[in-house]
Amino acid sequence: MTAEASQVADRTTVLFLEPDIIVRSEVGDFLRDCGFMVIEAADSDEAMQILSAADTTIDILLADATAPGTIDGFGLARWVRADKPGIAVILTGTPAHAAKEAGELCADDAPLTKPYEPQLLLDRITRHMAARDRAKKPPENAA
Amino acid sequence: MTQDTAPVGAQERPRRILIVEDEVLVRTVIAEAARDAGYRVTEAGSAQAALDFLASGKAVDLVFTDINMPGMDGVTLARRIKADHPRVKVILTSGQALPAGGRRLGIFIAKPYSIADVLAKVGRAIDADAGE
Repeated sequence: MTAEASQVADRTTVLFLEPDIIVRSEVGDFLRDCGFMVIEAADSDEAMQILSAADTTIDILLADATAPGTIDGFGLARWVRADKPGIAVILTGTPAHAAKEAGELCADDAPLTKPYEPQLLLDRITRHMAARDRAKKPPENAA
Repeated sequence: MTQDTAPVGAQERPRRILIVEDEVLVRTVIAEAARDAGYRVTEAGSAQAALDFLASGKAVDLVFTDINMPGMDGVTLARRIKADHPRVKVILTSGQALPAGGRRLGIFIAKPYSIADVLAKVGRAIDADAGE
C-alpha cells in the first residue's frame, strides 16, 4: 500500500453496497485493514437509509450495479450524482452491465468488473479521492 | 472438517462475530462497536444471509441475532445454527419476550440494550468457548 493510499484511507468513509455477504465481508475487511472506514449495505434501501442519516458523512459509494432494493445500484448512483455530488461513485458489475451503462453513468470511469482485484479497487478509490481533493483546492494564483 | 468444528483454542486468528439485524442503522452501530473492541465482524441483513455465510465455511465464533426479522426469524436461525454449527455461540436479542424454549438456544439480551452490555456478554461467551 502506497503512502498516498494510506493517507487517503485514514480520512475516507466508504459506503459499500454489495448483496453477496461473502464478497461484502471479505472486501470490507480488506478496506478496513487498509485503514478505511467502511459502512455496509446489503441492498439499495439500506444504502439510502445510511445516505439519509444526518450524522453520517460518506466520501465514496462503492455499489454493485445490480444490487437489490427499490432501485438498483445504477439507480442509486444516479440519485447520488444528482442529490449528493460530493460523493464519488464506483460501480461494480459484470462486463455486460459495465458495457451497457458505462456511457451513461461513468464516461470517464468504467464500472469495476467483477471479480476485481482488491488492489485495483484500492487504486480506484485513491484516484477518486485525489481527484476530489484537486477539485476542492483553490487555484494557486487565485486572488 | 469445517472451520466451526475445529478447536477454537488452538487458533490464533481474530475472533469473528456474525451480526444479524435487518435494521441497517442499528446493525452499523453495533458492528462498529464490536470492531472497535477488536473483533472481526460480518454483517447480515437477514437470517438467510447469515446461513449463507456460515455455510461458506468461514470461521465464526459467535452469532448475535435479532429475533424479529422479515423472513426467517432469529429463533429459527438459532435452531439451525445449533443443529449445523454446534460450536458457534448464539446471542439473541429482541424488544419482545424470548419465546418459550429460547433459553436453550443461547444468551438473551433485551432491547433496548447497552453496547457495553452486549460486548461484555460477547466476550464472556467467546472466552468460555476458548476455555473448553
